[in-house]
Amino acid sequence: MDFRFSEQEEAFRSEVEDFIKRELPASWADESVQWPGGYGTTPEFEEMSPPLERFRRRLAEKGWLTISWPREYGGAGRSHIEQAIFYERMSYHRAPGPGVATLISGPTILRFGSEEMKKEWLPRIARGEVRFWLAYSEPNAGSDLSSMQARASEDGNHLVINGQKTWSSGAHVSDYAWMAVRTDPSAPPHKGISLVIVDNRSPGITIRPLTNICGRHSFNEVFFDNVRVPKENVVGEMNRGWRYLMVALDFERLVVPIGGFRRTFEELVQWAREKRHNGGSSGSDPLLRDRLAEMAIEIDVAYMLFWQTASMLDRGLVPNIEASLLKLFSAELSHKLASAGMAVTGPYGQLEPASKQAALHGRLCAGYLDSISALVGAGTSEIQRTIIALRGLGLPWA
Amino acid sequence: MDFRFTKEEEAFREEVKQFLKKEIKPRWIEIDAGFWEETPESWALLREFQRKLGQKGWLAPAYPREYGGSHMSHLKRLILAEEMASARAPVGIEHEISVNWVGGAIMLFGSEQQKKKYLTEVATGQSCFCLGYSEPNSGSDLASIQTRAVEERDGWVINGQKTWCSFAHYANYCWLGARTDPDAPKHKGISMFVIDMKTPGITVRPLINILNRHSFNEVFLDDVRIPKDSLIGERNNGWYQLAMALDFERSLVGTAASIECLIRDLVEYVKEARAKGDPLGDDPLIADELADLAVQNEVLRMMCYRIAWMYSRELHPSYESSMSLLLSSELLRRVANLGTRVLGHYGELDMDSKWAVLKGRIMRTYLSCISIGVGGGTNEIQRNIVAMRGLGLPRQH
Repeated sequence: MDFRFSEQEEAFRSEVEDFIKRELPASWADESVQWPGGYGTTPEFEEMSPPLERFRRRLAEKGWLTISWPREYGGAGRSHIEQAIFYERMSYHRAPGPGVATLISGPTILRFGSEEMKKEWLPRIARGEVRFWLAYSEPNAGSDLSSMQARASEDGNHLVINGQKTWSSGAHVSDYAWMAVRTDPSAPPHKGISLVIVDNRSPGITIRPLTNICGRHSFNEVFFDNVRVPKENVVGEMNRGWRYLMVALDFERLVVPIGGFRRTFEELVQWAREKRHNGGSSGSDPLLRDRLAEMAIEIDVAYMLFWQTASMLDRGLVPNIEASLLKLFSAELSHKLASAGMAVTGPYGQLEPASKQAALHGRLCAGYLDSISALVGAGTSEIQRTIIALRGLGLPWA
Repeated sequence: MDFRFTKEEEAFREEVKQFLKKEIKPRWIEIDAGFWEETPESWALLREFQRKLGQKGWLAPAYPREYGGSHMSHLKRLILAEEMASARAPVGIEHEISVNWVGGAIMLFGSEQQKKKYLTEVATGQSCFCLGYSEPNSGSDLASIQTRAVEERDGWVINGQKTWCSFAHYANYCWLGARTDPDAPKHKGISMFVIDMKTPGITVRPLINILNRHSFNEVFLDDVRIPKDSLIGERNNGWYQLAMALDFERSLVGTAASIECLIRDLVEYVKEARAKGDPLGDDPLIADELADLAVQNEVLRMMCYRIAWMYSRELHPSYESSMSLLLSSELLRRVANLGTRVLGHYGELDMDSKWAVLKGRIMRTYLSCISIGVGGGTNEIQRNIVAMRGLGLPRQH
């Protein structure tokens, strides 16, 4: 065991840091309201400004959207630790770039897709040409995901899809749905699901906005009405989608903007040091110091869980309970950090970004609202605990 | 709504205070016994004091006079309980078991003859009860009890084992749940009995508790033959009677007053004790937590008052009692935890050490408080009751 990064890794970190400082608009980290762990303030789920799009293209040119992928599929052929180092720096600067396609769908295709599918999709994803959205939840299928009812029937070389998905973050700014759909209604719920890639431009798709708690358009509900999809878009084998989905969810749970926690925390500590309050700084209030110290500890713990999952991926393992642990811990941290931020900044934390008086440029105000989404998306905290109990501890089904 | 006590009630409170000042022996103050830490000496002091209360009609104050009580209002009973808790008077849990939990159930379900006998005995402090509920394989799932009662021509024969029986080694009677119809669904085949603990076939074995004291016992019943009139209430109606007795058990009205004593101890301590020259109470983290505990305890007090008020209206508190027991058990744990933090290593010393602080009460509370939140139904059971009876949520499987 070695708790240091190698020289090569340190050099890579500096390279990433320099790149971000050079290419990302200097004011972005302040302007962004992105709250670590939240889903409703994520720039990838909204229309991005031209400078951010330019930044994303520059990442793609370097192969950094898909750092750990093999070079033959457009990746940079680097280790998962290096990818984690990259993602830590990126999230520290609130830099947009990696998304559903690069972080969730791509790695799943890499593991389960046919050679044709890999050649067809992975290079395009790596070049940043296509964006995906997750078509999982339905009005009656959330935590009980396997009860999904959206149906795909076979028609020659095509599937014909009917049904509805919801909580579809970023569907309106994406190109393809990464969709779980029922292909065998007579099989048990877990055994009749397939994963398929669906073009957003297909006739029969209707995308309707759902405005989230922060007043932003990130969610959608999406209706599928006789939507035809070529069968070659099915990932892996038909009716084995549940298994792929579980792995895709493990990948999703690893997407923790770890640097965002540190950055936001540093900003909060800065505020506590500088803001005058009854003649002293608010950081001299023992109750607030206590909470901040608690957050410092938890952020360090989250970092350890984060590096652990990267090191597992480098050993060829897919973190499973470790992914749930990381997701659960960081989601709760997201929520606690927002509450601590509100306690530290008082009324200034309740001001929106437009106000000059707003603490942390209004990020707290949005983050306090958005942090509750952290506890729900990618599997609720209850689901994560269930996974840890079942798979990690070997406890029986309740 | 009127949030004051009447003049008469206030006068009664004063009378109780004076009585306690006069009657609590210095030796009792010296040994400072709390929950689940009886010794032969403390037990003798408890029983002596309770007989004295019995003579005044204050041991079972709300009982009718014909059963040894004073027909006192439930609000006065509350005042009495509060003052006895505040004075740390020698009233143990065995008094609650006998008078309010078992006595309460016998009052509802017993025959006139049974009431006359058992209620009078507990109201005068002559006798006390232990509970025969839990078994090695039946705790939270109490309806699964296996102890059997078989009817014979001239009585009943009991066989089985009970456990966690507090004070069974001192008790005169056991209030026992036993299965009388093994073929009925589990809730419908239970009956309640009163058993004289001197009956042949009963073996009481000590279980030493976390305070290193003998309060718990396991009780073995081996062909225990008891008379016909040992059955209380209706045959096979025991589950209902037991549930009522459990509601009484959860209806302690003096808990806020007793927790207040501990909070007051800590407040006095942090005013006096100094760290780096300043009183500990100047530490905002400590002051903050103490204030929070005081708030919670006021909420608990309101719950206690509501329970007393409901009794005074002849209502039966059910989920309301579960709420108060739940709050009090969690609050007591918080008080004990804060106490250990405030006192540091000194708080780990028992009263026999010359360095002990607050007579070792904090460490003893820290150890004993975990039994509250288990006995009388775990906190999970109380939450289930609040969910089902209070909120009307469906039963979990």
